[in-house]
Amino acid sequence: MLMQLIRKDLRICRLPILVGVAMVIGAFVLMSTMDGLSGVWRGGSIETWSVMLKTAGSLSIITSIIALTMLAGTIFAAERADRSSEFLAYLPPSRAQVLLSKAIVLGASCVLALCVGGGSIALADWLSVDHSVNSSLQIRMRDVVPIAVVSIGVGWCASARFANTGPSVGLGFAAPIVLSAGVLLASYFFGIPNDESFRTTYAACSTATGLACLVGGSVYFIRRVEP
Amino acid sequence: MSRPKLAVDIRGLMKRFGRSTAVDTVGLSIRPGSTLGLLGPNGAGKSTTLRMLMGMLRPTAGSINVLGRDLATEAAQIKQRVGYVPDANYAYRWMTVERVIRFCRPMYRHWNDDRCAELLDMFQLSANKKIGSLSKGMLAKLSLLLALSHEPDLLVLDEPLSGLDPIARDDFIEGVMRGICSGTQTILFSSHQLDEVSKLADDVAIMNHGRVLIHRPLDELLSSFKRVRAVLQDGRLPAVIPKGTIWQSVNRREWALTVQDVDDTLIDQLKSENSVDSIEVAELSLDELFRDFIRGDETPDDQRHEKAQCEAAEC
Amino acid sequence: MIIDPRNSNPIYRQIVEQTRDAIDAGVYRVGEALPSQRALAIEIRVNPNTIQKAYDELERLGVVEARRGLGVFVRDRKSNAARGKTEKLMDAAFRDGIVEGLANDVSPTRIRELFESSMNSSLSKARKRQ
Repeated sequence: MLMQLIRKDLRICRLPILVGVAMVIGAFVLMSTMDGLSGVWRGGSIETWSVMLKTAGSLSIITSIIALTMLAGTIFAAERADRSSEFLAYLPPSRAQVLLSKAIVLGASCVLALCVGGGSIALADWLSVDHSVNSSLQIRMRDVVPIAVVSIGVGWCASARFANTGPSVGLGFAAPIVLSAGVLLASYFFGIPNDESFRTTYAACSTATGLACLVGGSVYFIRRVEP
Repeated sequence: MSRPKLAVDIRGLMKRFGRSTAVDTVGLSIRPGSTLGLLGPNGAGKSTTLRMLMGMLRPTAGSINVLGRDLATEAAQIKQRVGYVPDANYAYRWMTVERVIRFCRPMYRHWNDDRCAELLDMFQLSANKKIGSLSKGMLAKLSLLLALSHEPDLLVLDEPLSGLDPIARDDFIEGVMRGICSGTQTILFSSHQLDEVSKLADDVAIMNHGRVLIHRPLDELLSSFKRVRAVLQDGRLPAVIPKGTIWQSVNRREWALTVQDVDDTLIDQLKSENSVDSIEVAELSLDELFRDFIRGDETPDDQRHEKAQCEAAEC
Repeated sequence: MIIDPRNSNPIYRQIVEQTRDAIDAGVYRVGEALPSQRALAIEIRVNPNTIQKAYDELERLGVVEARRGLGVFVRDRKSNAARGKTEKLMDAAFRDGIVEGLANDVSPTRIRELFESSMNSSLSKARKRQ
């Protein structure tokens, strides 16, 4: 039964999944054809390879966050938008089972994205001589993960609440921007000048908000009776 | 588990949406193996009641007991034994008929593949057709197929025949009939198609404005309510309306009433208390009786009385 | 069989009437079984309990007889009906005689004696004719 539910959820989220896969592949293709990096196809040095991998991996993580936010914003709302949630509501699976299937789909997608992006970056660092590559586009995981958590969390929560995918995906995208504006404003008023402490505060706020939204959305979905 | 006395036992069921009350202290009971027709005009609260029964809406108040289990705590077990045909099928549009069957199959403990294949054949549903491309009649039949394939103890049908062409309707009823004939399947269906209700139902409940006006065995209902037609004397109006009158109207000298438990005493009393020349009593069909119940319910009791009294005073 | 649910004549009675018509028209002959309750229910899309009620009524009317586990069979209704009619006539004649006697102070014992003697003479006449 869970397999059927997962297959169904994968099909519902076909669009964000396909977009995500396309964007990740696109990131690698784009980077491997860029000036200075295109050498990888003509027997480029290990160093070129690792720079390309690091850049592409970083870009793929950013694109993955976009796709995962879309996925989270779609996963509940799409069923309510076409009212298929009403069909599911009178079938035997409990709310918890329906939720579990969706959590598995989202969780697996996150893990996959992290493996591809993070894996490339790790591989790049491992390949390079001094185990540390410098790329013009590189991300720090501890900056990016909180953004991912808040976008996906807000998207998930909004999706559990709304009957349309548009607003929930939109809220997911808006969340990190609104939050950064909020933290910026707060730090301005409380006079926190240091860039690093801003980043830490922002990361903490994002992670907290994101996790709260993930839990809140799930609880809301389970407790809500109306399909 | 011992067989429960009632397949469905609904008590004091209420549902409010904001200020409006959609379902107002509804009580319904269905004996195992019997068929209950839930009648009412559009907006009477039939669908809302059935949706609460299926656990798709949370009641504001009241209790629902299905097949001996409390819906509030044992919804999952109940759903295993209940088949539901909603007023519209919202199954995933992108699934094919075969796919949706495979989707539902593992969810039920008692899914019967032979029964499913038989219904598929009987309804002439093509397995590889997309749900999105099915006609309304086909969708209704698919809903019934999904509802019957796990051989439920209770079948709940919400306006199953509305919008179906006569052929689709025949197929659909034939599918339901097999359950009725088995004698073990309890059926609850809502409808405003009086013809089908009077042919299929053992018991009937009439709803209006969220309330149940009457809930009786069908033959008892038809035998206890009669239409009385009295001819009033010149210039006279009805003075005393008999007890058990659900609807009445005066047209020229004809005074028509639909009354419960009409017997000789009641007729004699009617004659002695009103200035009438002749009285005749006629049987009613469910169709007519339903109309009288609804029309009678639209005129509140006190107003009905006042109107008659004021009319009587004028002359 | 066509059932009109809008008719104020109850459905079971419509089934009774139409089944009697069908038997009279020769659709079902004496000794043949009527369609099973279930088959008829599905055919005319009527609740099987209603069909049962109609068949019970037909049995009460002496049109059919139910044989346990086998079905409902058409009875030899013509002879049944004829016998019923004769008995009704006889009953009326006896009643007239008894009322006449009682009105003229003939005792019940004497009435029984008179009945026995006329019965005996009728029987001996019938025997002689044979």
